[in-house]
Order: sequence, then structure tokens, then C-alpha cells
Amino acid sequence: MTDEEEFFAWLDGELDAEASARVAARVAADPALEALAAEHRELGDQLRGAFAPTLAPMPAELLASRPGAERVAANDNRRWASGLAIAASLAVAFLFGTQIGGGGEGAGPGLVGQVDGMVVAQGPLAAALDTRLAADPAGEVRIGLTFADGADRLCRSFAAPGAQGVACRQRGDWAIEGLFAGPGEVGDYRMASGGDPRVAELVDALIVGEPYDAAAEAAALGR
Amino acid sequence: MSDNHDRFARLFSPVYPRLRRFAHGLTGSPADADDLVQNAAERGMNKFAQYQEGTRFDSWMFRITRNLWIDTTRARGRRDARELPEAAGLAVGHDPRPATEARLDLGRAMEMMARLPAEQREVVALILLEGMGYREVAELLDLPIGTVSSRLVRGRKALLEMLGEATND
Repeated sequence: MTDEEEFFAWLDGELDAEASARVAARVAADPALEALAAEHRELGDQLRGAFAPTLAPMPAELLASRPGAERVAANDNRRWASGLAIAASLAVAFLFGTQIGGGGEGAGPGLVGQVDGMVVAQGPLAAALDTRLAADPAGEVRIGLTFADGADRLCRSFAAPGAQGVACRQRGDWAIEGLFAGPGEVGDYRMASGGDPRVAELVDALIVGEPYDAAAEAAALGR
Repeated sequence: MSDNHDRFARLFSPVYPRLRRFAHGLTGSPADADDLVQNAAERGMNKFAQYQEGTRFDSWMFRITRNLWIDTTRARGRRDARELPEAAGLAVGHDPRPATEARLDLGRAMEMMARLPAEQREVVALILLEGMGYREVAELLDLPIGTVSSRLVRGRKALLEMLGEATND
């Protein structure tokens, strides 16, 4: 073991009493080593603190898809929806209050917010859903499919930096139906609609009829 | 069949939170981390007959998870390295405070971990995040303890450097 390895083994409580006492004395006599020990303890604390939010209890449905288990009918959204809720909460945590695509000092608006307990698009995402066509030149937010759902809402799939999802027009807002964290490096119509299988699955679950063509899309947006 | 499933679920459920943290330390993206844990749970269930009663179930699941991650990383090949800055996704802001006072958030912590070579990343995740002992990790990864120790040194030094970077640019 090198001196350096021994130093870290001491820091991690891996040495026996004798070796530990020896290293402790060496560190105590050397301010530089003492500072290094403090920095590395701080690094460990920071890492564990940063990762603490990932310690979540197991979702009940995690083990539901076992082989041989009765399959949930493909058009039954319940099991899928609970999985979605988890994915959405992850992505939401990821995007809330986070400035996307900016590099400046002030915190810009996040892509999603909450209105009356409903998760809705806001900022550049809401603007893109309001106005952008799938054929528009690529911007920060790209639009994939536009379609109607069973409640006759206007729905659109989208890709933003860091997330992809589907939103539907509801009471003047874009209600987020699903949001999946992941690189939003989506280049075109086809990718935004089908690049992430979860987005495609969500579109399948919601859509009634065919996706809008370019003319119907423009008409639905009043363009 | 169903008995086995219930027994697996009883053993797996308490391990899940740590396994999920470990997966976040490995993958560099929250979505990939949850996929990894989901796939590991399925593989664990399918291979449950091979789990030996009396041995540590948590180590068994950590090993399955780690092996799955290695398989995925290999399958992706070089694409992974290119994806990292994208996957991290969060702009690193300027923080005038010294590195040790700035709070590290999950996005940046995952980005830092993702920049470590895989063989350092897994050792760092198991020891610094999960708090496992060197010997336990050596057994889990089938490595000599000296290799674990030297990879850990390299990994944590690289991380400390990254932790300072945001404030020094």
C-alpha cells in the first residue's frame, strides 16, 4: 500500500488500530495532510448529501411485471400510469426551477410549474406548445406529434433539453401528461414522436384517431 | 412461483433505496438509473433460484446491478462518452463561494461521477456513496483489495478536482 493509499484507508476507517494511530500522528503533524483530510471528508459528505434524494422507497408496481404474471391489457392505463407518475416526478424534480438552455446569471423560469395541483408547461415550453409547428426550424423546444385525445383535448408531444413528454390543452394551460428525463437531443418530427419509447407509449395511450397533418396542426393553433 | 415472487419482494424491497442510489451513481441520468434498477430487479427475480440462502442478498443484488450496467455500457460503446454532457443537462453556474461551501446538487454530482472511468466510478459509488468496506467491494467486484484501494484513490482525487472546478473558471 502506498502512503497515499494508506492515508485514504485511514480516512475510511479501514486500518487496524496500530496503523491507524500511526497515520493519525502523521496527519496531525502535517497541516497540508490535515487540510487534505478535511477536503476529502467534505467531498464524501457533499456526495452523500447530493445523492440522498435518490433514496426512495420501492414503488409497489416495480415487481409487478414478473414473467408469468397476468398481463394488464394494453389499453388499460392504470399500471402504466403509476409508472409514469414516478417517471414524471423524477423529471419534474429535475426541471422545476432549473434554468434550461441558458447560461446567464439570473434563474430563468423552469419548463414546468404547478397550477391548482396540475403540473403544467410554463416559460419557453408553454410558448412552444402554443405556437410552434413540428415543421418549424429546430429551437430549444421541438414539437413532435399533434393529436386529439379521448376528452377532445389538443395534445402535443415535445422534446426540450433534458426532457421529453406530452402535454394536453386543459383550461387554458398545457397539462403535462408525461415527462421523461433524458437528453432532449431530438432532431425531427419522427424522433420527437417516437424517439423515446415511453413518449410513444404515452401517445398511443392518449390518441384518438390519427395524428394531425401539417394543415390540421396549423389550424388547431390558429396559424 | 408466487411464493418465490413474494419472498424475492420481501428481500428486495429493503435493498431498493440503496440500489437506486448506487444506480444513480453509475449511470449519469435519472431515467437510466431507474431503468437499471428495474432491469436488475427483473434479472434478480429470474435468477432467484441461484441465490444461495444464508449469503447476503444485498451483495447479490448489487452485483447483478453492476454487471447489468457494465453490459449496457459495453453495448453502448463510445456513444456513452459523447452523451455525458447532454445527459447531465444542467448548466453549472458561477458560485463565488469556495468549493467546500457550495452545496453540490444531484445533477452536478451525477455529472461528476459520470466523468469518472467506469472502473473508478463503481468503486467510488460502492465505498463513498454506499459506505461499503474495501474487502466487501473487492469480493463484490472480484478484484484484489489493492486494486480497489488504488482505483478509489484515483477516483476521489478526480472528484475533488471537479468539485473545485466550477469555482475556478
